[in-house]
Amino acid sequence: MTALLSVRDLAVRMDTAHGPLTIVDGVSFDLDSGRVFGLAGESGSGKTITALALIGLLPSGSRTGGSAMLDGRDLLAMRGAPWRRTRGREVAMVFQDPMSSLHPMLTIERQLTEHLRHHFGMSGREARERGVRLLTDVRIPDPEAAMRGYPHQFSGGMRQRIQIAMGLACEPRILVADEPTTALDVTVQAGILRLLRGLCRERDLAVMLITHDLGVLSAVADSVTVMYAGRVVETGPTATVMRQARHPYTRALVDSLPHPEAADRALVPIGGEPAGPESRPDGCAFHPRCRYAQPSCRTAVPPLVPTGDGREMACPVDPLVARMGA
Amino acid sequence: MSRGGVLSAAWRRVPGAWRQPLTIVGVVVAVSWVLIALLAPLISPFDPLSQGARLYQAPSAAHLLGTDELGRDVLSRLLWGARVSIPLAMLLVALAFTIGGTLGGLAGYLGGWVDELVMRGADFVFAVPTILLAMAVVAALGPGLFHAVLAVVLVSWPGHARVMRGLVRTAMQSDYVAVGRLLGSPTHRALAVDVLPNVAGPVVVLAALEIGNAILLLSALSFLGLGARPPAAEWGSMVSTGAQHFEAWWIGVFPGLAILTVVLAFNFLGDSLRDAFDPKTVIQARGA
Amino acid sequence: MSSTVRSGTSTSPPSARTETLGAALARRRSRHPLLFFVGRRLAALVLLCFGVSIMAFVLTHVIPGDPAVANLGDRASSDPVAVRLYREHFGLDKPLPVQYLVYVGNLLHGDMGESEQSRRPVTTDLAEYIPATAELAITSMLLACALGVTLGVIAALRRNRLADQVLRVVSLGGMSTPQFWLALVALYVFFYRLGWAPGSGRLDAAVLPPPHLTGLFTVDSLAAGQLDVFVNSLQHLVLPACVLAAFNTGLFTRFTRSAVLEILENDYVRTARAKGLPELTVVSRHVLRAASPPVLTVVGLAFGNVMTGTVLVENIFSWPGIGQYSYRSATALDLPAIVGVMLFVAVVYILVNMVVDILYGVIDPRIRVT
Repeated sequence: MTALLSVRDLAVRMDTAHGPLTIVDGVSFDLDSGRVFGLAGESGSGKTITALALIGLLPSGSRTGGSAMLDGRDLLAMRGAPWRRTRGREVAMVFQDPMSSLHPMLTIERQLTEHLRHHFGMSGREARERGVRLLTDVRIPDPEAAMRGYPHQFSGGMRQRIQIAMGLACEPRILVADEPTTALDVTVQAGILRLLRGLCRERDLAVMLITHDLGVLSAVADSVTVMYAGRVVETGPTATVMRQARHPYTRALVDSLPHPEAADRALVPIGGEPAGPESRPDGCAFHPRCRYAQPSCRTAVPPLVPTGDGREMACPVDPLVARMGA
Repeated sequence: MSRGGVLSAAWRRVPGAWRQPLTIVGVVVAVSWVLIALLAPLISPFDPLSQGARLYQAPSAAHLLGTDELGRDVLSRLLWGARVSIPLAMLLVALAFTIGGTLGGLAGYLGGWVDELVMRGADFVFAVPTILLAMAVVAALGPGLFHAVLAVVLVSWPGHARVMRGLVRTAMQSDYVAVGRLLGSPTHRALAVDVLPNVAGPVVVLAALEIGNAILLLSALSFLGLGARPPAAEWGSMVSTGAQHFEAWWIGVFPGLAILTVVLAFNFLGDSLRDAFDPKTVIQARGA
Repeated sequence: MSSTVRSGTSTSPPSARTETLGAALARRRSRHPLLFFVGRRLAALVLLCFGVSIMAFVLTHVIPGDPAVANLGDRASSDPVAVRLYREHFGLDKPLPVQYLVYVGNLLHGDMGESEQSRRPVTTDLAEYIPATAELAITSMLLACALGVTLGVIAALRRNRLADQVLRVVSLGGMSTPQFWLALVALYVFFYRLGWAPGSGRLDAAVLPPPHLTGLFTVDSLAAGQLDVFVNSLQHLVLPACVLAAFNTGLFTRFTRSAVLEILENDYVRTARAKGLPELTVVSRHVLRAASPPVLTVVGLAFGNVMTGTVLVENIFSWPGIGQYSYRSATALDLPAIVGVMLFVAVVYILVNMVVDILYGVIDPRIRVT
């Protein structure tokens, strides 16, 4: 089965106060319909910039490299009107903070339907009916009344559902969700995640879920790609990666998750700070914080190699082997 | 080190806020005019009051900007006009700032009914257009430059009060004042040490902009005959004379240009300084 | 990126026991937010009017040594009968607070005293001159608004590029130009030299004014179908309205630019673009609406500027409005007239601000709740 979206060697360079920097350095992945693809990493890893590159909303002064092929069209090479037609219609994005991502002075109806009417030329009545149906799909109570409301009248969880409804309005094939639950109460997060996965299956949607929280991904993602300092360090089916993380960074991330059954054990943090793009170390970017670092890690960037069980990993040192050997 | 090297090294030491092209132009022109105001008696080719020359002469080599309806040299009157407008405007702004800043600072610091009173007072003054209020005050007190200055001070103090009040209130709510209070140091000491340096920036900006406004208002009042009295060389009244002698356009045009350049210089200064002090204008690239 | 946990707005049910007045008010307020909003603004308006009346009273009755002499002018005050009548009318022998009440009472009856120049009640004078100024002021405000907002949006979208720098210099220039000088220069160039525009008045001497409907010649002539009068009145209106609009255009440009720049940083603009909406829609619907409140703030300021400007501009263009009236009164030291104009303008200014405040509530739904 060919992937819906094939991203190859995606690179993003930006002009900053520190000079031109490479924020994203050769990232490749595939998105499949009906599956949730998780992109994990700390802040500064470049995961949001990757998403913004796909949807074409990079800040000015950015340059992209590589390709993102959707139905034979390269999203990264598209400009102007064709790109605006794709944006919102075939590729939709949901952002982190629903309070600031929704316009405070426009009604929900307006925000839900304006791109519907623009892309499809729907009449006001048709668009309104569609909007009510969308709100029902995302489980907003009393959708007709909600249409007349304004964002500040809803709770955080509701606003995020409204944002998701907005993203789904034009029935896109890809939905990118950037930290959709980070700004929400823990009790509300589970509902949103369930909703996303349900919609993914029902509509045969490709969902790209970006987060720093591996716990979130373990709950809903079918596959996980871990990024560090602008590069992919490990990728594979969620269960496998979580259970047997092989890259030292992934290993450390998984270990640092609080586990309910290990409540008596101390939390294991990852030492050091994530390196920002302006101070990226040579060679493997993780080596200053890595337990298994070797001299070669300081000079050579480890390539991403398949490990045989559907995964790929970018580390010459296999922690499982190293542990067994030590 | 070469001379160019010393200069460029010194240039780099100047804070970024002051290096913008508009700031530089503003500073240069404003300083030039202040110098003119100071040095007018020395650099002025003729006595501004002497009526010796031929009347209504167009600009020529002898009289660079021409002569007016009484045979006085326009250029000299222009230069001497700076001695009236600029110092008065500065005095005016200083007065308005003292009164308004104190009232606004008290309002922000004490809050409560003092705050209400000062702010209501400011609202009342804002409700009346500046010229009308100034004219009313002059009508009540009588014409003359001094009364005009008083009127403009009366009209300008609310602006300073509001800014000061805002600054004081923000500072009072800031973390370092709160921490200072926790640690037991009295609030007024924290205000003096932490707040005042931060206040300097917006105050300078406001002062620069207000000087420009003061010059505009003073010259407008003089134009209407409510400020400076003839035969004093004041730009506004010179323009007024020019209005009565349309063919001799140089009488009215040049003083107006003088006003324009001075006010523009101060506005450039104030505007680009304000941009520089405002952190929102700094463009940052963030990775995510 | 840091995460913030937000909880939504919640309404707690009223307790079974008696509620305090505050709670009851709060409940009513949440049901009729717009009404409460308008009510509060009206109360502030009344308060402001009081303040202005106090200021007028102080100027006319407290500051001058002898209010009767000051308000009657040189000629009348030499007549002891007139002086005595004035003293009785305004209760000058009574204590100050009572005097103030008398003054306000007279005001509310529409008595602002008599103009010593025209020997008519000030209110009559005002009624005659207001329409001319209204026509000029409204035209120039519309011009300044339309031009200023457009230029401000352009400057914001082309931030720090050439267009922005040029617009910055131009708008600062507009705010630095003395209006009386600009009027004279405009008159000199366009009337004296080029003969493109008429030099004075609202209509050519030979043209008769249209039948009175609003007092605004442009509106009235259109209503009466007199196209030639309409064109003529427009010709006379162009130059003074443009001169008057110069300062405010600069003001609007600056303010719109900074408001739009702030808005553009907001996430919801990014969301609008992510939906694939054309840039024009993003700017006109999303950005401009969000930028309206701060720009509206400037409208009140701009109105004050217009009134200041009319004094100068009407003078130079011989426009028979209250600007010229107030100037004549000031030079003649006609105190009641000046204060009358001041009061009138202040009230209008307050009304304008009130309308602006109401518009805030209409545009931004969040404000209706606070």
